[in-house]
Amino acid sequence: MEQRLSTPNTQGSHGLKIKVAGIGGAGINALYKLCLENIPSVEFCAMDCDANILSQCTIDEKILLGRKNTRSMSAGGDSAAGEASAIEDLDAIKNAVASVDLLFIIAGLGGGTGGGAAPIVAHCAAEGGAKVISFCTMPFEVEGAQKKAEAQESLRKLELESDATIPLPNDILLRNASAEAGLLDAFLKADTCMSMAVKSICKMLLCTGLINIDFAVVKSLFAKKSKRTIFGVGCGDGEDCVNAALADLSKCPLLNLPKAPEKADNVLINVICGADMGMNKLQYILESVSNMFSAKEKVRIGAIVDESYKGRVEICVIGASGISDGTQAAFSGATPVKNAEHFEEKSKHGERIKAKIKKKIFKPKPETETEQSEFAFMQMSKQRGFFEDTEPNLYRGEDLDVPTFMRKNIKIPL
Amino acid sequence: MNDSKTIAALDVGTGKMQVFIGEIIDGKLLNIVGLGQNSVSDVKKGDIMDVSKAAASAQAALSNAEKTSGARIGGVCLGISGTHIRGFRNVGSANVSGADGIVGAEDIRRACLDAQSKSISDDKVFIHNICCGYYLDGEYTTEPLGKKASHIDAEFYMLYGDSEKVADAIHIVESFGLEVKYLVVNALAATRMVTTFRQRQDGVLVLDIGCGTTDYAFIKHDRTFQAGTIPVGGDHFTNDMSFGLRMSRKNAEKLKRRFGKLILTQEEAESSIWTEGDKQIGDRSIPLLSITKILRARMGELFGIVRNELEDFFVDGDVKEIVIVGGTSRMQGIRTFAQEFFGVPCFETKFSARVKPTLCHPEYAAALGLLDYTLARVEADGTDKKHSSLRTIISKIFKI
Repeated sequence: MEQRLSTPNTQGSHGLKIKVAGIGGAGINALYKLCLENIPSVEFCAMDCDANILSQCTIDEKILLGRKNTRSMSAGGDSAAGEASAIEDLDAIKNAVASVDLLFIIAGLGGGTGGGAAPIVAHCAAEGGAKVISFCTMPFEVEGAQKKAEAQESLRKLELESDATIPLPNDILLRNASAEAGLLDAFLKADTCMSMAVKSICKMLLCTGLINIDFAVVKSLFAKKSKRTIFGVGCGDGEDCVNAALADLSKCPLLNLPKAPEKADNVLINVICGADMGMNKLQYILESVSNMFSAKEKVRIGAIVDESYKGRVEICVIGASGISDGTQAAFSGATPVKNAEHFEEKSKHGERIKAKIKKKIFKPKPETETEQSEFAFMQMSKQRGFFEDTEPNLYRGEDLDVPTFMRKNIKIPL
Repeated sequence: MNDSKTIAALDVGTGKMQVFIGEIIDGKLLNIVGLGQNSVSDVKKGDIMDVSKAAASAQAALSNAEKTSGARIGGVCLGISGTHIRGFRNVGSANVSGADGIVGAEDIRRACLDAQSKSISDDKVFIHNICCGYYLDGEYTTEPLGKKASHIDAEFYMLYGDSEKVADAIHIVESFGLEVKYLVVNALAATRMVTTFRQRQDGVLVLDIGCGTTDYAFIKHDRTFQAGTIPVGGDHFTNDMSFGLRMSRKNAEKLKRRFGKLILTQEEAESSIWTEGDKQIGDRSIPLLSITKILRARMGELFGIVRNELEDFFVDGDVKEIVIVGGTSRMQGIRTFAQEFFGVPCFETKFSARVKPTLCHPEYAAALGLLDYTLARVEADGTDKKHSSLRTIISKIFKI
């Protein structure tokens, strides 16, 4: 553990660019809540296919996706339309995430724009060298099996592209709510949960705390791909606020997902507390959380002093479980894994999707061009020949009008 | 429609418009009396790009057919295809109302109504609502009437299309002063002439690989369980060859027809062909393997999409046989390739005995199926009811 005590410093982290992208209706709604938190030095960006929603949106940076594809109307719950729209406005997305160090993606899965565009945005950001942490809400069971399946598919894609993915199932968030709680309560709960997490991580990075954690620590936490991301928040008030916060954390529904990991390899604990917090209490939090997750490799703790938190403690835990030796393990995220074979199968599938997205979005790699020594290819999107004047023929992220052998990099001897 | 009446089946294809004229005698016998064809250039991937040009092509084909048959067309059965054709499955339920627990006609009607009550957006229009069968307390049956159960589910496959595109297709015929009597999705039509009752009972997948699209339909228990259109057809094979072998589309098409093979012998794999054959300037040698590689990549991808679309049926082993029709089905080795790919038998296409041998061409499967469909509808019941359903579609499109 590399902790260091430092005097509180009001200066922000130098040169660190953090951006929060709210994608689709659910993402933008959560973004509003986050904007109200007044986090300094964090940029916000709203992306949607629906011009109506964006025109009413008060966030400065707005990107309208898929002008041609959806004619500035909603993606209609079709994630394929959301994906096609994001691909249509790829340049705008790339510009928005260029030179960002840490990108938070907030989206609701199971819908059109959130489910379709979020993986593309994550891909662009990761390509640009950003660390990507995605928070996504999952639909209620009552919304139907099809929506659930679509959300799972989008989650798989998002997990591939993000360094950490935290799915927030609405059903689980509502589990502890009162019987009268309705849909709005669950959505509010999800928004609160996401905004709390983003706020906590941003504060940790941007404010020099009692125990400081910088971006390098967060980067190292997600340096290796993990099978699952652990995420939980707990809050406590009053005299015994520390124990109350720890108890709240242990009850956090996100830590009690079906087959949630009991052990974590890396854990980052961030504590926001008042000036009355002592080092012994922080040490107590560290030990308690370490025991809770049987953390075997690394546990890092950061503490931010906020004058408004007098008599109040907020603990945010983010960690990784099932870290592989290399970076090739396909999945991060908190999706329950049934067994080893299932995981392996999902990994293969994820790799295929990633390859498809890459092939669709980016130009062929230079090595491929040199391998195909017979002649150099034009940009793949222009290789449509007879179908030049028709709409792209998209199937699972690939344009079927582009010759198959080109997309599959099959060498044709001449 | 009784005594002797002629009806035309118009297949608006990507490569050509095909018209068959059939004579329906006493509402029972179907006699094919005329055939008209005309090439088209403004239909791509099954979608009509320029309605006026497509209408002119259709009118030329209809006129040709009228001339060859010497008959006047009474009405048209229009086959429709294209990327806008989509489908989904819907299940409707009803509790069996009788105290004795015997399923009655009213119970079936309520379950069917419930299944068909699904609404779609205003810019879409239903073309077929196909009943795939019933489940009595979870047990599948095609004949629920009179059986004992407490609950009945009716499963429907609903095929719908883009209102504007359907209206364009209808306009092509109506601009010629003819009435569209029936509107049929090509994927369903193609199955009628190339499958036997036994195949349709056991589970058969019919692939109609045309010029611009591939229509597919899976039939089991003599009912269509799923049908659709994949926007990949023969044009894509030609386009791929044109890029891969760096030659004009016209030459690529010629080579595809002459040398396009999906399976090569060792000897063929090592041999080359000449593009022109005259060994003059511009003539060049191309390895046969290159052509096969391009074609196999595309065909493999197309079959992969089909398998994805029908994944549940393949996983459950419901697909017992595959029948391939359409112009691209003439590609050498396609059936062996399909058999290897799907792991399901794929034999030579056999047309119904009712079809004259001179018309037994895989390209005609859809158009012949359209005529057969018309005959079946005429035979089934009175025409008023049928016409009213089409009128409903047309009314919805034009918002009459």
